[in-house]
Amino acid sequence: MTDKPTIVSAGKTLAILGGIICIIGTALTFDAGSINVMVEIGLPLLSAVLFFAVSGALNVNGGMKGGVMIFVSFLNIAVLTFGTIYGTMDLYLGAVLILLAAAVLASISSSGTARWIQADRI
Amino acid sequence: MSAEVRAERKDRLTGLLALAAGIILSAVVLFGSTEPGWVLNQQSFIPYLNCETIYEKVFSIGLTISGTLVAIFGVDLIWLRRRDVLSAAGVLFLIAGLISMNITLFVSGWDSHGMLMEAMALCILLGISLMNANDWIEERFLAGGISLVLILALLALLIINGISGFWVPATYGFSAWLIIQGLKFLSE
Repeated sequence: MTDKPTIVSAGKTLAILGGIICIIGTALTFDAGSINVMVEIGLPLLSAVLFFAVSGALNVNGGMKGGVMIFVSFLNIAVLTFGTIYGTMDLYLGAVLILLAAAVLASISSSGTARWIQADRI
Repeated sequence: MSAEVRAERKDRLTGLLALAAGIILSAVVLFGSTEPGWVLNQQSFIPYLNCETIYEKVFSIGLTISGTLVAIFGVDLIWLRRRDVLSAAGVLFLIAGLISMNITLFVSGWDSHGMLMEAMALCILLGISLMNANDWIEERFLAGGISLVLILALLALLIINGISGFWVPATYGFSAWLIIQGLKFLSE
């Protein structure tokens, strides 16, 4: 079995961290009396799901193609941007999560990850 | 001329059109915003004949030129004949460009101005969404990803500010998108 490249492990760790921060952020900002409570909960949870989906795909035996992972990462950045501008997320929390998502995207887009997905992920 | 060279020239032309339209659009909005008290909203898109100040005239002429370029860009997308999605987007950009020309060049009154503006915005939004889908189909991840982020950011701004505060980010967003598309076609 081939060793996993460091960049893949880093991407996976960052994606897990992003998902956890999303869920903690949702719990901290939860306001049951808000009119927009569904959007306030739904958007960060959607982002957490996308973070965890990417981290799962960076596992050995992960099933997602490289292109799909890039799409999911860009979708995550778009959802986080939407949530930050719309105001469902705190500005600083949103900025940190966008940076994390961009770092995960950079990790996925690297040539080392692409080579590992094609040759050694199985 | 071989088919490959012809396709390359078509791509280059499409890219140059998008780039020129994007730069002109952002330049006229920037110039218009230097006028004290000028607000970019639905009423800013006025016919040239109704313009009073130099800022309004420049904005109106710029929109006519940009609209013409977007219409030709639409024809060019249809002419590329690469995918049905791209052709459908081309039809939408052609309509949007013609509406923009109609508002600023041919019409002197306010007949159905609001309806035309909404139709233009809708055509552009649908066209961008189709082009974005095409980018993902053709695996152009960077252009597709940036467009996706732009679309959702604009959607959030539309929800927060309503249609009245939508035109500034929408115009800048659309010109940025045109420049990205231009660079994408030129780099192919």
